[in-house]
Amino acid sequence: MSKEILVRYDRCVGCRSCEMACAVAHSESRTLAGTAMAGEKPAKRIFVHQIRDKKIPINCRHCEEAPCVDACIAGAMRRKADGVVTNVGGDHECTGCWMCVMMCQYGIIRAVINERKAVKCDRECFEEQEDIPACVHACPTGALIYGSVDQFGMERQKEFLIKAIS
Amino acid sequence: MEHVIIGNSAAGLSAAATLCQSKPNAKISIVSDEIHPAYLRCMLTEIVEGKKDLKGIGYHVPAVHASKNLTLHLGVRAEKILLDEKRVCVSDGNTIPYDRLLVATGAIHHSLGIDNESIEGVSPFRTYDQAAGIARMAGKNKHAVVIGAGLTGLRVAQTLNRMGLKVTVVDQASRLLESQLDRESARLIENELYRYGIRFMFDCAPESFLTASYGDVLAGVGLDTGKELKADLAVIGAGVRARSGLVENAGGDTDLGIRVDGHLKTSLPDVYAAGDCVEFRQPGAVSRSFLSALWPFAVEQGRVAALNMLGFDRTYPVPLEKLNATQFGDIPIVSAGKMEGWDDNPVYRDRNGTYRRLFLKDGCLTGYVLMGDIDRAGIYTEAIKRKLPLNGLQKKLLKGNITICDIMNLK
Amino acid sequence: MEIKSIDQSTQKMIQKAESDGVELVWDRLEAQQPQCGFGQLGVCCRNCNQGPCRIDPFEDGASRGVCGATADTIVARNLVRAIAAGAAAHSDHGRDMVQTLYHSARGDISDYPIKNEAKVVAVASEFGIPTESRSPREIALDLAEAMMDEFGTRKEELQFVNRVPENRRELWRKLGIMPRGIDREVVESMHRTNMGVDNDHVSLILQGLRTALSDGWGGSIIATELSDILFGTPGVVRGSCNLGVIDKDQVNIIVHGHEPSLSDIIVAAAQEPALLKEAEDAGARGINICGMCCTGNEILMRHGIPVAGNYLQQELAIVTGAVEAAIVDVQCIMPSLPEVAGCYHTKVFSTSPKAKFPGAEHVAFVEQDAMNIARQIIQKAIANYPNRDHEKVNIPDDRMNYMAGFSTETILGALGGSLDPLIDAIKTGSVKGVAGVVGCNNPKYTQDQGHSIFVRELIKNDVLVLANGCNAIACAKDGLLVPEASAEAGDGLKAVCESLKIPPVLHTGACVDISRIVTIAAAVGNALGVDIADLPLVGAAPEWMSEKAVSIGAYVVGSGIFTILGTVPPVLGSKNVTELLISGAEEVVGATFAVEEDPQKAAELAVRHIEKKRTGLGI
Repeated sequence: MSKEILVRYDRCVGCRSCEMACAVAHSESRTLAGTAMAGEKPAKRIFVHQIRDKKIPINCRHCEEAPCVDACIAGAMRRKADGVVTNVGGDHECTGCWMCVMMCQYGIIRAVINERKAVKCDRECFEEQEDIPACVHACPTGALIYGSVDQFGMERQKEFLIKAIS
Repeated sequence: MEHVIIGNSAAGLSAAATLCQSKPNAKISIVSDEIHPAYLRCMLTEIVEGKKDLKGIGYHVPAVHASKNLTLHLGVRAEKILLDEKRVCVSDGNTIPYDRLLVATGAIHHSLGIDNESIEGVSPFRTYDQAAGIARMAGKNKHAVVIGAGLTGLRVAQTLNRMGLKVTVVDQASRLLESQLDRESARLIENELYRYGIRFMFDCAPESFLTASYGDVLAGVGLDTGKELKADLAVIGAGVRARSGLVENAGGDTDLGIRVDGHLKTSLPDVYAAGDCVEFRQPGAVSRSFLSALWPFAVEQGRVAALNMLGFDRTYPVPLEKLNATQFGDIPIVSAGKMEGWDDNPVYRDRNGTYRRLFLKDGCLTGYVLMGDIDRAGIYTEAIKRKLPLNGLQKKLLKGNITICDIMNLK
Repeated sequence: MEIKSIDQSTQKMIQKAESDGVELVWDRLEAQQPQCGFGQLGVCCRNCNQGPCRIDPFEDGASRGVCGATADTIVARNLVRAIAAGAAAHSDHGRDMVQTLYHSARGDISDYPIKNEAKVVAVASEFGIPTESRSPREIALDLAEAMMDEFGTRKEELQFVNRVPENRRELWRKLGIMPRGIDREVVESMHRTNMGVDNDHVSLILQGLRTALSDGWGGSIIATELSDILFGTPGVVRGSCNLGVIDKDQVNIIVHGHEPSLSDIIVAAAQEPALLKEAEDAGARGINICGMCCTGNEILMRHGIPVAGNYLQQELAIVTGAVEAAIVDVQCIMPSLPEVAGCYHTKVFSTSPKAKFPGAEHVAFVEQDAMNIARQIIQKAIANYPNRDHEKVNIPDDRMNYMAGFSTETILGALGGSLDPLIDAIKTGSVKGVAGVVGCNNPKYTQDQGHSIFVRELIKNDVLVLANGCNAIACAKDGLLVPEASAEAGDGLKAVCESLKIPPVLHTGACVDISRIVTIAAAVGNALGVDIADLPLVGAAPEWMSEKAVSIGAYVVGSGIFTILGTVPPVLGSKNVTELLISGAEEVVGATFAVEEDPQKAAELAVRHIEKKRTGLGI
């Protein structure tokens, strides 16, 4: 059973630590101070939205029939055996055609224009000897958790999201 | 059960992958008139530019590769469907039996109707062989005329420009990307490409291909305005038509392309169709037919058709008529839906070159153009699909801070 | 961080706390992880209620606060507010000393006689107060009143600024950072950082420097000088330190915080036969007063009272299970102390009207009744002795001897009455330069490791170290405050230390006494006729955490001394502010900050800087 980043919406306080940790984990130096000192501008791949009085972290759902995978005309985006949808480390490189950006209804794929590369949650953020993603690690309230889910669970996640925002 | 798929590209291979995954023992035959293994068609500019070879743009579908029950017939044309016998006649003289047939024959370039269209120096841009031919003919400082200022034409023009050719794009329309962009955004792209050295001639069409004194080799392009353009290379980047003949000849319902029902089934028994050869029609009396002609939709349709062929009941909603993402020069673009002015078409511009225009009808989003900052474009696409009144979300869509939560909340 | 502390006693007590089920500062640090990145970079602003606002450091979100403030503005405002808070802490401490002197001079209080009459005359002379044929009390009254004016707003320049070489004073005037009233600068900083006032980061940082200078050359110096006047100027003393000073057979009283007023009286009261008798009756062998942090430094400097530890050991002293009372005043006192004390029999007494602690017993300290209050608290401690649970007692045996008490006067005395021998030693190169090393502990860094490595490396390179605050205690525990430690020094420094019989690291006092270091620096500059910035000096705060350290760092840099910070300040969110602090300031005040978390590399930076300044002076 694959592991997913699950959200307990009622616990999110909107500190955006996850966003920053995600960006830093995708930087060259991989430390906050180092990133700031070097003037790096890494792109985050998780977003905390404010919907009325609620704070809603939105990240990639790693969809089973992922529109971004369908959309990839370069053959870079794919769903790996562990269920992670990524355009990193496959046969082909991302060429920045932005088709996936256009297709993702969650709006979580970013166009990094100067690198001509689409970036998204790719789980390339684990610290050495850590077995949780940077955003989960960074969450001070336990709003983000990293756990196994079955299909039913994934559906429930979507239900939770809908309930959380309505 | 025998599954036969005609076509070895996005729709065909997506269908094959779905068949292999859902029914590992399913027998599958793929027939393709191209001799080459499957490739990523949208990457053909890489071939022109010599950045990649055929292998480098290979279309790998792991599930298909792994299958032991799949037969690939390459360089073989499907010529006729024998409905009664449930067989497909192919060009090597064989007939292949099927229980379910998927027609995923794609599209082909439309002839310009000029006599000597096939002389050396003139080429359409649709297949690997054509791309490789253009690569051979292209050279630094040569003059190139690209016919068609649509997405394909401009991509080729940009590629040739990068390679050092002097590129002129001609189009019958009065501006580029007429069906993808509104006037203002089209102007921005034109300026951007002009900055890179590409020249444009609008409101004109090629009338003749002029040949060199020493033989049947392109020397220029004659326009219907009387003007003649020097040309060592002319690329036909416009005019695509669905390859629907196979179904049409078998008595199937076709028009612009192959007509299908909500399960991607043609009017012929046990014959399905998917990809660029299929026509769709939005529900409603006044709507007209269109070809979907988009890689992601072809992949989707292949998957849905395959599931239906296997007996699952999967409906396929009519896709968006227009949906495109690309980048010209330094400007990324995403556009979707109808580019017509309805109630209003509000626009947002900022100093960083961000441009967003919305097209609305009855308070619903029907189309958009995003340029510069294109993040979250998928949310706009979703907003069009939902066909719900925006209820004040217009500002957020313009400013670019729309979230999926906002769209999910629409009622 | 591999280990929490290099101090064995700390390590032992952390283990004990764990088995006793006591939550310590390190546990709370862990519970705070991850700490907010916006805060770490200094790009969050809560200065008005349009916010809170945050600037995205990666230009991937908001680049301005609601009001329009940029990262530069926000980082600078936050930094200036930290300086103002730090300056306020030192200066308010100074004001308390002025109040005490004032009441003592008026004869309102009897427990604080003027102990150092010569210094009253000396300091009063600086203020232009007539001293001829007047009683010390008369002079002191005028001095107290004059010093009260230093806090006000009527002056254009503070009095102690006159100790600074003229060329530096001229520079301050030119830059508009000459400190005026002590309170005024803090107030102006708060005004300027209020929503919609000063938004230019350079202008803000200059005001930050002025505020810091009002601390270094105002509030702190007043605190130091008046403490010397009221409690005596420190002379060479010897004693011992670390948690091992807690005595299992005595009534142990920890005095913790920063002001010497109460602790000094407690030291005296604890020697009263009546109280000693009470302690004996309770079954104890005596009353053991132990210092902690800078209150510890104050009484250590003047009485050789043992010091139980520095900042990160305040909870651990209680964890020994052998502390009857922890008496606290102000600054650097963890609000967790009553909670930790609740796991043992220890009673925590808060004493300052400015600092109350939920869970502690408040015994209001008033100077008019100081001795009685001191007695009263000691009696409570004695009464608590029988409650000690001997099962829970485990005192680490770590203790180290020290030599301390190096006030400016003590140093002059050791040098034979003049700075010349030190200046000569610097000229000849036997002493390459002088480093003022200060500052706290910080649980994010291995306790005392930064202090120890940095200071050892400096003395090895013949740099004389003047240690203050928690750094001094770290050095003491590490065995660096004894003359024998000169064995670790380079040959030049070793020879100087051996001939003067002093340690290579001189304990100059509490963190408020860093004024002593800048006073000495100014005196050396005046003696050589050069600016402070030209001297082979460095400042450093290897493990700093308090806002006071920010103010100290800023006045040390503002005074022209290159300063190395061992923990990263929350400014990196603004490239402009960061660059101003680490390089641009050189053009402005002739000194910069450096940030270096690796103490070894920090020491290399310091030595390189000293070499550069020596070359500049042609020595």
